[in-house]
Amino acid sequence: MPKAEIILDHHGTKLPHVTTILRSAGLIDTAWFTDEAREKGSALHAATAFLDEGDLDWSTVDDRIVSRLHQYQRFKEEVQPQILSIEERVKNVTLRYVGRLDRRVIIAGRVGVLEIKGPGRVAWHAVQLSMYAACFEGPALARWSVHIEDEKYQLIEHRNRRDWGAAKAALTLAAWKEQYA
Amino acid sequence: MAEPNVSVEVEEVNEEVQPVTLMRRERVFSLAPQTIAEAIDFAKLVASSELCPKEYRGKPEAVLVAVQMGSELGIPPMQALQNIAVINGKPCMYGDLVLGLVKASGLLEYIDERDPEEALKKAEGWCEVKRKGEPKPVARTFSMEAADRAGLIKRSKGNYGDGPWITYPGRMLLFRARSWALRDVFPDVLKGLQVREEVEDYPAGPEPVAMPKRESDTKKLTTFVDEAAARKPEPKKKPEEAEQKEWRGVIVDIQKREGKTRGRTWTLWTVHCEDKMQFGTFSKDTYEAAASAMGAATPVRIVWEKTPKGSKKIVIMEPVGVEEEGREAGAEG
Repeated sequence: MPKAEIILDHHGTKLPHVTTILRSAGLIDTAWFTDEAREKGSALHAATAFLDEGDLDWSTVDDRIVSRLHQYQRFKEEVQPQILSIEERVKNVTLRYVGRLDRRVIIAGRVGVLEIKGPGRVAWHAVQLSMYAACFEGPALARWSVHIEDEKYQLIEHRNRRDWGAAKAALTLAAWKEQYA
Repeated sequence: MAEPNVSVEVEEVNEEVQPVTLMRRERVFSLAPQTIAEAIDFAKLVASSELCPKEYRGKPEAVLVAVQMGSELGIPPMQALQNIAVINGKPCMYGDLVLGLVKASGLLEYIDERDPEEALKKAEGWCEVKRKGEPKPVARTFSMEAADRAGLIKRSKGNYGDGPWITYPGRMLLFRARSWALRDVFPDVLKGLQVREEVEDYPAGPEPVAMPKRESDTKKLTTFVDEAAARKPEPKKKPEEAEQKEWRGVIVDIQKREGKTRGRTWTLWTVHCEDKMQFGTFSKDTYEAAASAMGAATPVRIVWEKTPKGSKKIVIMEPVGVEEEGREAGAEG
């Protein structure tokens, strides 16, 4: 898994990450995240990426994420997403932010952005996806999140047009905080 | 003009109204924060400082909690950071400092303890404390048998050196007895603070979730070991004093140094491992395997020997687990 890089614009200024913006705007509250949940999330993300690249050493997968990894495999078998990119670094030059998109996919003939999430569904997922989608030119991309649990998975399509409005507000607020707060 | 017939009683107030503060300013110059905003700024500043204790570095929220805990106990911020540790999620302090706090409270009439040697001889720590104003003293004991039953001695036997229940059992018996006695008699002084020596004995939380690895990385390491074994059928015979030792763990850094000796250029790679162990190698193959293991955070087994200059030279390096697989395969074949 590549390490996080600092992306600079052509003036050499560090551009903020999507999750940093959402956290700064108060949409993501990490106060109640547990260490184990964080670790599970990171390990699952790495495992799904290696799996999609056909390069996963199954013997190194922690027992605590094996069942979720099987659910991700089930999602791939049943939904048959065509994976266009894995852990892609994305950048919005105009609005000046960067991010790491879990997958760019084609599902049922539509191109879109996909985030792999744990069981919890929270409002900021849709806003995060709209920010990733806005990093690509051309027609608007579909936005999906796949929520992986031990026993099942759930694929959600986010269609609320106001998500992008919330994203722009978050960008404005984060920029204001950076400068004045 | 007639005075209005109103009587007003004025109550003399001698106490000055104090603003709500985290800690009173007692010296002319003090870094003690006075408000919550100052405390947050202070915590951020301290957490980013190199002088900050390692366990608090980069954790302003933990700094803030320790400073607050210290202020409740009357300890200045920097002293709190040096002396309060958060272990297994619990704030705690060394046994000697806990006793210091109790003494400073002025509530301790006396404390009587069995010294470590005697505690070891009798296989039991004993501590009696008397609080001023209480009719009777309170005594607490802690035996080696209790330590054994709680699995403390077994847990203290480590792979990389033994813990305090093996190296200083008498002192540990004393601390346990003292900890129980002081916590039972002075709960108001200690405010839930625990004794570090005791908290460190608690079983740790669940193991961290292991990060998965790429199949290609695992193969690369295994292949290297196979090739290296094929290339070197027999290790060179060493002088008798060159005893080989084994170390296992994770590599954290590799440094490169180049030079020229008697017209020949050389490259020395120094492999830095956890536990501050470091080994040297002039072999590029060994360096590449080490770099690969470090990148994948794979634990390795290093067989090393001392050079005449006293440094540790790598003889064999392989990922942990490979040699066991080899043995099993050999046994089957």
